Amino acid sequence: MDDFHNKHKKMRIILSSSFKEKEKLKVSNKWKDETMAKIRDLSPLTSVQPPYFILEHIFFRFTTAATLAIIIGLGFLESIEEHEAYQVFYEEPLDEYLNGSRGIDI
Amino acid sequence: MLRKDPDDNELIDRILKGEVNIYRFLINKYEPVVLRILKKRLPFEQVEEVAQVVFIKAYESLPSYRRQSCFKNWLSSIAIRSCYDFWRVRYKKKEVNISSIAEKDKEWLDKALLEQSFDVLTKKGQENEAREILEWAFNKLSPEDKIVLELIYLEGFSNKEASDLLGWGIAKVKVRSFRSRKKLEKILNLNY
Repeated sequence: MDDFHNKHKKMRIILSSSFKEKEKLKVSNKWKDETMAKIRDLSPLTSVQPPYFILEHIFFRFTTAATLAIIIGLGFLESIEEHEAYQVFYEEPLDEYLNGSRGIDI
Repeated sequence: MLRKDPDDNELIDRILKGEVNIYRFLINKYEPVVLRILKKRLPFEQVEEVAQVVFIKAYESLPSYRRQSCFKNWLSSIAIRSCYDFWRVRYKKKEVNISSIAEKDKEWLDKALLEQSFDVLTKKGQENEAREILEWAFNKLSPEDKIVLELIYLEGFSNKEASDLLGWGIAKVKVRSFRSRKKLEKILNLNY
């Protein structure tokens, strides 16, 4: 088994090295001029971005800021509610109307 | 007028606005990346032709290029898929040369596998016999097996990276990689 793995590993080293070696072959630059000539012959490019593309970009860019704003906003709203409740129950504990009423008889 | 090292997105914007000649800057900048991919995967005489195909495909696809991804990776993916297409057409037309391995190459491989040093094995890989064995073995594989093995087995890409480059699902890459490896082992160990 070890021998098999060893052989396999060696084979891989040889083949990878041979594969990489092919990078060194030299290619002329003629193809670049031909490519540019073909590209100039093509019709002009038209942008095919979907209509929501700009909004999507903005959305991703401001995701973090928007999340923070929502969290802070929710916290602020909560504190307003608490403050209002505080005002109702503690700052003005006796409502004039209730104070004057005799309550409801059961 | 262009800055010394213009940003890719800036170049792409100008090309999309009709300044076609600016594309030459992108060709010059990414030519080494594309040629490296092609030279390893294709017969040498086909490299220039497929390089043209890659850059023309990329040009035509520029309007749909999403700026979130790196242009180099996007272009590499086009180059790799073009190699895959090349071999698919070749296999369809049955133009792949599946000759038998020469006796001298078999002997060379048996001898090479006795080596113990990594450096010696790497140097052996630079010899002509190694190239002949590599081409012989990989020509026996299907285009799918070939492209996956080249990425994962020979170049060391992860399944995820190979999946991104090929545009295949990870599961398909994993299964194909496992099976093609088994096929290669069979070709190299049993079929000669």
